[in-house]
Amino acid sequence: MKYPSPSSAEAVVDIRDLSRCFGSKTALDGVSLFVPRGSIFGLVGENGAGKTTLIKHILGLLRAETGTVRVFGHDPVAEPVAVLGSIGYLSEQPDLPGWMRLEELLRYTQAFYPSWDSAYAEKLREQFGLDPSQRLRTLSKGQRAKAGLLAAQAHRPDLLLLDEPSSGLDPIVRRDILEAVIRTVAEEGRTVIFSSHLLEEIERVSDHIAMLHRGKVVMCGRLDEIKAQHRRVTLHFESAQAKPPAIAGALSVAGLGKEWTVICNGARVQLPAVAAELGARIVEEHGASLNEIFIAHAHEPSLGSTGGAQSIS
Amino acid sequence: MRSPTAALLWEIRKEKGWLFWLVIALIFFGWVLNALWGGNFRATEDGRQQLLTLDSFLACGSVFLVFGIFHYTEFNPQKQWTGFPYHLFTLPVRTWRLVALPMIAGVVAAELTYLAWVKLIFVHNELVRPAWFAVLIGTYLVFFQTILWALAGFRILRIVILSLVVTSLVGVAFMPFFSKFTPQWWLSENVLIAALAVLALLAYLTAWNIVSRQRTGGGIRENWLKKRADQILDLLPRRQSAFTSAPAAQFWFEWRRSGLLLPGAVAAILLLVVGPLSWHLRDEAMIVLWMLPQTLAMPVVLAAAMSKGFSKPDFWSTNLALPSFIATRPLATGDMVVAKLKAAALSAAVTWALVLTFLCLWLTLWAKVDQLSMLRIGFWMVYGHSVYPQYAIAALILAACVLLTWRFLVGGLCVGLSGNRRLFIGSAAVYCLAAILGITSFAWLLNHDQHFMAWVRHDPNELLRVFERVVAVAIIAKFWLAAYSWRRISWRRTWQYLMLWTDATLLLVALATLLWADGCLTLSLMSVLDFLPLDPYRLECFLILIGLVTVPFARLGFAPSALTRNRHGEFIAKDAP
Repeated sequence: MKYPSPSSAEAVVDIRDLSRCFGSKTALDGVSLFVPRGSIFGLVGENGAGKTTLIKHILGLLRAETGTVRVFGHDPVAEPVAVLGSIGYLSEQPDLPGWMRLEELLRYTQAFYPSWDSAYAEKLREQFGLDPSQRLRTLSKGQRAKAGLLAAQAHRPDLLLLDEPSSGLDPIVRRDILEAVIRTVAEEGRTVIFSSHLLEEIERVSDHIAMLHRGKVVMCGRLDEIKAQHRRVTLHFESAQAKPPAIAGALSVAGLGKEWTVICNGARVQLPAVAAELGARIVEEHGASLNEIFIAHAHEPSLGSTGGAQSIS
Repeated sequence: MRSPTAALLWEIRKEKGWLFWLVIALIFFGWVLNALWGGNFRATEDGRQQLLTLDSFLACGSVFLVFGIFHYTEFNPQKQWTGFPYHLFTLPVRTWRLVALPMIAGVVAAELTYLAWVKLIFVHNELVRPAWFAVLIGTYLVFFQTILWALAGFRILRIVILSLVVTSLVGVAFMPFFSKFTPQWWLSENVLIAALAVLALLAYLTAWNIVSRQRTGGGIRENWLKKRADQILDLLPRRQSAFTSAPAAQFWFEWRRSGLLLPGAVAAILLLVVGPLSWHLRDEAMIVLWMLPQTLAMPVVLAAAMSKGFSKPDFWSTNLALPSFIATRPLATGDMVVAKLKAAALSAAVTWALVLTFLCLWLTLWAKVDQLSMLRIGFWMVYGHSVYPQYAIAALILAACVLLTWRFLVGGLCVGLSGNRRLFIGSAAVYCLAAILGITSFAWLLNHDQHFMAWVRHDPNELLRVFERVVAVAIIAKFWLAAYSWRRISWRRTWQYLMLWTDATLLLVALATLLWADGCLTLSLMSVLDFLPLDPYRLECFLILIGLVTVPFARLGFAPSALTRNRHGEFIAKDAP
């Protein structure tokens, strides 16, 4: 399943054939994405893959050059108030006004959201250990991220949009706070979209993922289905192989001499026959991690990338 | 590139390469100018003076450009200051060398530029004391860099100190010339050169010490001025209750971010300059008539100076894009513009309340108001022996001043909010150019064109008629543009602003009519203009037309659409991610 069917659930975000160029650089190239309500949707991709550009389109901070973007059925550029009123957003480097105190930030933010939950905001503030009278410019990077998360979350948005939220947080805060917040949102039936470099984090929290590579969606779907489709198979050859063996259906082949590791996607059934044909036998097989899947897809030759040590049939 | 010195010099050249070429182009231009037409110019004393002035301007310009090249700083996002390039701190190069290299390179470049002018362009004896000026240029560059690096944490204070040092050093530059009149040993050129050399060495040592501290995480972390400003703001009553609506919250944000600046600046000038000066000169008879117009003009001039900053989405930021913190608020762009307009209005009102309070205190407590009383008597006589027109004029002038202050603050919103850097810089350039060209042309016409002067003296109403036509065309264009710019704005909002615009314009028209009453203004102008025969009716029409063109209408209609385009990233850099 390349894209989940729009009929499977109500769409929170529905993007079709979205493209965006900055000068000669294509940031997004025909991206189509469907985010079902109540999902925790992880966006993965290397630096410059187009994650932030995609999120900016969802927020209406960029106008679609081609294609359409709908959030809760609305165009975020034409109807920013309707869309932004239901979104909580935290950017990688929250550009919070440094002159404000935390209490002022909360009071200011509260005015824009009728659904603001003051008790919840106070609970989160205590949980994050933030001083309400402190000016935002005196906060550390991690504290600023917490303040941003608090302001984004306290109105219980229908869609929580987090762009690389972990970059300013230490591992303990990341695990105890960020993931707890994301789970709380999901348990209440709300939706989270978050982008991250940390694939382990995405794997632990998300139920849906989309992988972006050079502005294109190369993989999108339910995480468990994606993981079930991808297998990591170790092949043992009778004699050392000078170059990577060509294996049909493999995403990547890596190794040296007699031992070669293959990441395959749905071609598992044919693999024993292909291996036997090449004079190899399967010595080990297990589900591929998201990290391995990501690297295999990022180096897929059809995407125009060079594979380094890997060779792909 | 094996040596760190070569790498660092390469970096400077690479970063500011185009400025190097500009310096070379200026020198080349000066050389060509002197080679081709130098003889002709030097044939007469007037021509020689004109060429010397032009050469001096070009030489100064090229030396300033060298200062710009060696303005060796970098923004440090962690410390939020622009100081010594912090990316160099991780290089395996000692601090004394990191600091000395741009200084020595800068001094050498400045001296070479100066030498090129002295040897290639200026002829013998044209420059007085060339060695003294060579030393000055080198020393100034060292001071300049030291101040930039040492006061990295002080943004505005650094500019103030730099201005004070520059002013003082201009005084120092003239010191050897005074030795003719007061023969003091310390005014001799050699002693002054030695003193400057010692000061330059001390400046280098200071820069070395401070950059060393910055390199190891030291330096002044907090902006001193900002800290003091925060302390003052903390004294003000703080809002404790929730906002009634999103537009109210946005208005508070704009007021706190940009609106407070003008009243703050005016209060500082009144307290630190106007107040002490008026107290010090309180016994001077003419001081009230001299200081009162300047005090009244000061907020309007400051508003005009601040207008570019106020029109941007963020006053202090050099980035014209709407910050994502604001862009992601669920608030219509029209409401954001209205919040800015209201913040400007409150800013103008508070500013003038401060000025009025000061004037009340000054004029009643320590001012010598004899001359003012004479003026009032004059008005009393002209306006039918009644004091009420005086009160009406004073009230209308005050309201017009508030209006003008607001007008200057909001006039550039459609440009500043657009996020279009070219438009932003271009509009400023057009205003500057138009002002310079206008003043220069007018001055030239007055001084050189006898035919023009004869025409003006013969019938000044003709000149007034020309101005009238220009203003009338501007009004027609204004209403056409307004019809276009307001077409997408809701009828309710258009109606509200139309009412405001009408009230404000009527106020100005009323002031114009009252000033003209009984030909009072005409008489004053005639006395200023050597009793040229002005037609009072035509003058009144002209003032009314000025009143119609003053309050912004069309340009404010463009502001919401400009901000919308900015909000949706239509002017972001081509290479932005």
